[in-house]
Amino acid sequence: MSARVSNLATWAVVLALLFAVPSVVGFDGALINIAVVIAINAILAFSLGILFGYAGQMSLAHAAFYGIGAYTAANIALKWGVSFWWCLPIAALAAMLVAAILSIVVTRMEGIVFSLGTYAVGEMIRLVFVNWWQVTGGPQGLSFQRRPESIFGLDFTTRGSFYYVVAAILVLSYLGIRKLMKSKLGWWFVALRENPVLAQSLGINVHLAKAIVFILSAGLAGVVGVLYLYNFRHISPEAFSVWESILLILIVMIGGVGTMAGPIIGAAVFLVLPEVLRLPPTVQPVLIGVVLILVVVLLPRGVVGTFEDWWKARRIKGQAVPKEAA
Amino acid sequence: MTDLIQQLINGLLIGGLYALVALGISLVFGLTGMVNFAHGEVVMLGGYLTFTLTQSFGMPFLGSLVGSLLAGGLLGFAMDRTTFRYTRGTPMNGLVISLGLIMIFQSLAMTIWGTEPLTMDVLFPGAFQQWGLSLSIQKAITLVVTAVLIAGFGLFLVKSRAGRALRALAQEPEAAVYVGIPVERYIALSMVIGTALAAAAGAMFAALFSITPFVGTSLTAKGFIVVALGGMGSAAGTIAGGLLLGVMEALGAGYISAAFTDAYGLLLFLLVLSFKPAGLFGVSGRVKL
Repeated sequence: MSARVSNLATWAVVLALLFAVPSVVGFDGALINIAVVIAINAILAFSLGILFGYAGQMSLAHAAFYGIGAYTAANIALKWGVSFWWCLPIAALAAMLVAAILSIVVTRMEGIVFSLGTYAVGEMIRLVFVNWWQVTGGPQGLSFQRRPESIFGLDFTTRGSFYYVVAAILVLSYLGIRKLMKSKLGWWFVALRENPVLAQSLGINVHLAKAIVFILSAGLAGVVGVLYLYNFRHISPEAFSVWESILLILIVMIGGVGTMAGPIIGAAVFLVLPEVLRLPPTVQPVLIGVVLILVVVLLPRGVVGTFEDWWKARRIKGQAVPKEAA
Repeated sequence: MTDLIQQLINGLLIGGLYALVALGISLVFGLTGMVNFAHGEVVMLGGYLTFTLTQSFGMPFLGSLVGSLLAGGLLGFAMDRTTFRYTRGTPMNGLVISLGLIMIFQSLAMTIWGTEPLTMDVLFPGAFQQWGLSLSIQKAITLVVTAVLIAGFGLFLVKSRAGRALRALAQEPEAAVYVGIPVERYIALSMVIGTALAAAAGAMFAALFSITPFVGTSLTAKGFIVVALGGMGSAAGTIAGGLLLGVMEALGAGYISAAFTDAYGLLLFLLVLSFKPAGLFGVSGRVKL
């Protein structure tokens, strides 16, 4: 079987599985909700994955951009009745605009200093969410009762149909990011992570590359903000704090930094595990903290990365043996 | 005028505590390139320990302060040996680990002391009154203890053999190894000293203000601002940066609106990081990363 055919077969299986989820877990109820939340977090982890995983920039402001998307959508939908489908691109543009302004400052920073700087950015945006109550509803946040409008004669008001919207965006962002990472720009991002000095000496505009990846990842996070808003129907500043950014980093690290499947696996592990274990709310953060530490110390390449290493090592071993025998 | 001097005194008081907190962050960053987000949690735990020792066990304040200081040092040693030492080559992983530690410490504090703010009984009633200025005895004690701790740390860094070794390591890590300085041991020592000072600062914070399980993160943020102002890895700069931030905040709260107080510090932090990465008092040149 050629690589192309096996690739297509894999895709067919994955798409069929994604499509079958509501039929298996039911079109309504707790299980489909979990599936939606996993998919939302997986897209969010994708968006952070471009910045943190591929370009190596650990941002602690990521949840703030997702918040900007959510607050933008809530305001334009409530005040002007903008439809769900228009909210998606507008929220993305809003998040990208803020990211573009901030990129003037943050692209000057490197490594740990970048993390510290984005920490300050995330905190400041959260303070704006808390204090600009005319727009954000202050610390209590905003309630939101609208549902996605029907489009092409399809109805999107049930949980199961909303799942398909989220799943479609998940697949599209996966394909988009994969295409991006195979493009020249994608190589710039990886060069940025591996060695910024060397990248610059090869003629790559490091500042520009960093700004582009920062803005792109903020844009996708803005889209997820809209999904979050329509799913939870309530938004408040605490959902978009630096803590949320940290949990996202954990999701990306559990899955595997710089891998395509990592964010999905990470989101699934991170969200399903607490549901299965049902720990008291004071114990749960301890578990998260311990898992985070163990992942960093024992599996620095994450679940997917470790599996990839093991798979490659196995294949190399398999090839090397006959050569030595010959 | 009296009002201004009063604000300055309050600013120096808070600034001294900020400096105590920030010294540990700066010291560890200077040696390992790692930023410890869990540093403020040690301040929080030190504060709670002092609260329990004085309120529940009836220990004198200075006794529980010393107890917190020792416990803080022990905690720093435990953190370094169980987690941070695995991240020496990759400071970014150290940062991620410290985020995990925050969750553990906060849940621990919530479980033991609850989420309601705790305020200590007034330990030393009364105040010094002179020229229209007033300074409570608790604040006077805080000023003296802070000064003693900072001076003691300075003397240790300049005069003692271990202090010279630490400075050598921060300046030229490779050369320090060639002359036989055991790097790992001194990194652990810097962690112990830093967390001990942080816990002592926590003890004094708890006696002056109320304490919740969540004060740690904002204190870590203050610590970062101080370190950025003073120049990463510079002890003298850190002390100056702490006093500067304390005075700025006190004057800001006294004379400017207080709605976005925290944001001013963060904005300053962001600008210093991007345009003057060596700190306001730092010598020219890039930060060692």
